[in-house]
Amino acid sequence: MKARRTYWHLEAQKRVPSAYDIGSSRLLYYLERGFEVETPIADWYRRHQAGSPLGRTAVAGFRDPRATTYAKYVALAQEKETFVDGLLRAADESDYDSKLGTEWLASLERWLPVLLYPCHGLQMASAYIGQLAPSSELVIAFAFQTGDEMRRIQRLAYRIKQLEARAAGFRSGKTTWERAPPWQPLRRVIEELLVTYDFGEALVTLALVVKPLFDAFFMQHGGRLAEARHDPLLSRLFFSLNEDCRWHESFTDELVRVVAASDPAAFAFAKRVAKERYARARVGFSALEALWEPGLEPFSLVMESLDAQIMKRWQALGLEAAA
Amino acid sequence: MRLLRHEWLDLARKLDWSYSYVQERSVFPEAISGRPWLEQAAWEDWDEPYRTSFGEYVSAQHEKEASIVAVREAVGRVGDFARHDRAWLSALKLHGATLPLAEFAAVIGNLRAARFGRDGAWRTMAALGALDELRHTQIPLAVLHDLVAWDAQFDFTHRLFHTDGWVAIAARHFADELLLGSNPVEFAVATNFVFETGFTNLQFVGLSAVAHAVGDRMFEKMVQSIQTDEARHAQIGGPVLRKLCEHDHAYAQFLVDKWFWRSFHFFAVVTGFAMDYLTPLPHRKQSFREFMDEWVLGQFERTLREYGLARPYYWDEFLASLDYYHHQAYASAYTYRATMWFDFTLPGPEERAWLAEKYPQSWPEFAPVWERISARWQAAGPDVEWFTHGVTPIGFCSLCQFPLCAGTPRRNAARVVEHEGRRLIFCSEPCRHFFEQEPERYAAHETVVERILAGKAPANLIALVRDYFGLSEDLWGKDAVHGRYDWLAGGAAPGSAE
Repeated sequence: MKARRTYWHLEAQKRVPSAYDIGSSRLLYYLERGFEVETPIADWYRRHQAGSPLGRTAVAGFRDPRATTYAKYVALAQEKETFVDGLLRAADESDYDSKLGTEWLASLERWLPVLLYPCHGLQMASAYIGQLAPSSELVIAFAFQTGDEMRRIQRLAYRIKQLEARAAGFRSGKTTWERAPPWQPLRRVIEELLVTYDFGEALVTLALVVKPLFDAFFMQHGGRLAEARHDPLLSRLFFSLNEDCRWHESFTDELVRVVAASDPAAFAFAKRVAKERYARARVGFSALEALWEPGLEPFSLVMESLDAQIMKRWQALGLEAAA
Repeated sequence: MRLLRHEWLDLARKLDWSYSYVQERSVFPEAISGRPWLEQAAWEDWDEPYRTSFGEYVSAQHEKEASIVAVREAVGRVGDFARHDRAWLSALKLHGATLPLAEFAAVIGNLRAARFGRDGAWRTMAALGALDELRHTQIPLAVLHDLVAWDAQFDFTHRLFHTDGWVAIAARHFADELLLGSNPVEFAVATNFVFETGFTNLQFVGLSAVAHAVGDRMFEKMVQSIQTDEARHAQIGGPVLRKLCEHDHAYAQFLVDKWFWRSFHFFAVVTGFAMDYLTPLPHRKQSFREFMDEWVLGQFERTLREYGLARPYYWDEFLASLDYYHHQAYASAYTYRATMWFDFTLPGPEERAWLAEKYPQSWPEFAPVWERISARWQAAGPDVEWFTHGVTPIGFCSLCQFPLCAGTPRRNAARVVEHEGRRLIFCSEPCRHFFEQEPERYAAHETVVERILAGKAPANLIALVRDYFGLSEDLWGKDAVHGRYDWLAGGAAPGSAE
């Protein structure tokens, strides 16, 4: 028999295949040949995946920079969960909630319980991209992102449930999401994201526009606000949840670099979609001004710093001309 | 105030809201969400029986991964596999190749349910299901990877689904409809309820017991570890099926009927071969038939009754096929072994006596087949593989894409049907029936024979195997000992099972 070192598709690779290579590469057999059975979903894939301006050739070279295998994912997640368990235990032991300021509780009541719903929308959008992505490495990255969104929802739900004992508003997240005027523009952004079915458009809208805005606004800026209002528990919880978001950002950046290098037309498409969607998505966050007070600084500055942060990233990726 | 899981988890499960800026039907289009299309309010009592939080999940899974690593370090080296019987290695190659990329198709199916499942709790469970199935993709790929350098046939652990061999075509045809191209409603009934719940004992109890008996601790632990995950996410099936029975009972029955039949064919080949042919005789506990009777059928029938569903309409035909189908398939596969990527073993006098005892009704019809094959080996002598090998391509079913080997050696069960000017052939009445229920799904597909007739694949068998199935001579299946059986050399064999 002819000597082989590894699976057929990794033979040409010069380095020794890693656990990530072995478990993540070329797992989608349908890309070249299509589906054997013509279910309605076969047609969906022809239209929204194969027909997308940002498709298979653009993303083919993607590899997760962290090389996350399943084993690594659960190990990392378990560490982070242990850290958060420790935070919560310490708070339990110190009668933490009774020391939270009344004004801060009133502010939290307006936005914290609502977050579950947009976060679930982000989880759904992430799963959508995962199931449609034309590269197994990308499917896996978005499957983990979906898991991380679930983690974020569950940790928020735990904390919200604890705070229900302190104020009634923590019980009305869903109603607030559905009815309170300041939330409606953001709800519109999330709902429109959910019906964005073209693969490339959905990917860019979620990963380069809506999620970066959401994570920066709530996890980062919200975390700073919590710290300033003497709520280190929430601030550290957000820090831990934001660690997941930083990884999502890091693999998305890698993906954008791959697209830029391998498919100029797809990259131009990504640029166009990002720009168009950013303007629409930003409205969803700027409308939150009414419930964000009292903030650390004027709300307009919050939005400016959000813009600056995202534009800086886009510039580094070539999605935006340098200032 | 420390909260228990039941005090907070509901808040993280039930996250549907009423859409205002887009239509609910646009967020959940029927084409990708499944039918019957019901408003979310109809699904809001969707409930999974056993709850798990993300924290509990990663903690339990991290431990399971650690124990897989420990078993792998202790008994998962090439040297450990090299000690196994060659026939058992074939069972590993067969399972190994059909598993990982199909599991990855299940990642896709689960992610689709995590997006288009009709209730937040369902979507959340499906997201965990997607992570589970990724685990089931990566474990076998990792465990069997190191064996490729030792035995190149293990390359098919990753490669099978990328080839156009008949097994690959049949496996994709099955996996594409079951997993990859399935909407969340059909996926829940087909994959979670029928495949994972109905047949779970075949893997969890049956196959792991066989691996244990053979002394393959690595495979045993791998199968068991995988099945503990299946048990968690398979519970999505029940609540979806219950809702379906409530709103469209006939469709629920149809899905159960179709998927039990299709899944049975899959397991008859993958597990039936392993239990009745590829496990060395001293290690066999129960026959495939006995196992199905004891561990699968009773439970499946009871479950159907719980849902107010009837046994599939073909039940009598199915019960009869338990004595025949996998035997016909194995005999067919043995005589066309070069079309596959693993080696086959010729049942000797002792194996045939065991099979005669386990299958008193059907074996007398199979014994003469093996006697003729044995006689040809005797006439040709060892190493002359092609003297006991078919030379012309055989027919495949227009639905399941397996060879036409339903029925019995004496009674051909194949059905020929004219469909829009094309002559289609089915291995059995149920395969014909399911084709005719949804011809738009299957009609464009070509069997291997149709590809040959259309000039897309070579008619010469060796050219077909090499150029179309992607099997070079070092990879294609052979007799596991190249005909060097002690009993065959002694001339004792042919009539001994009579």
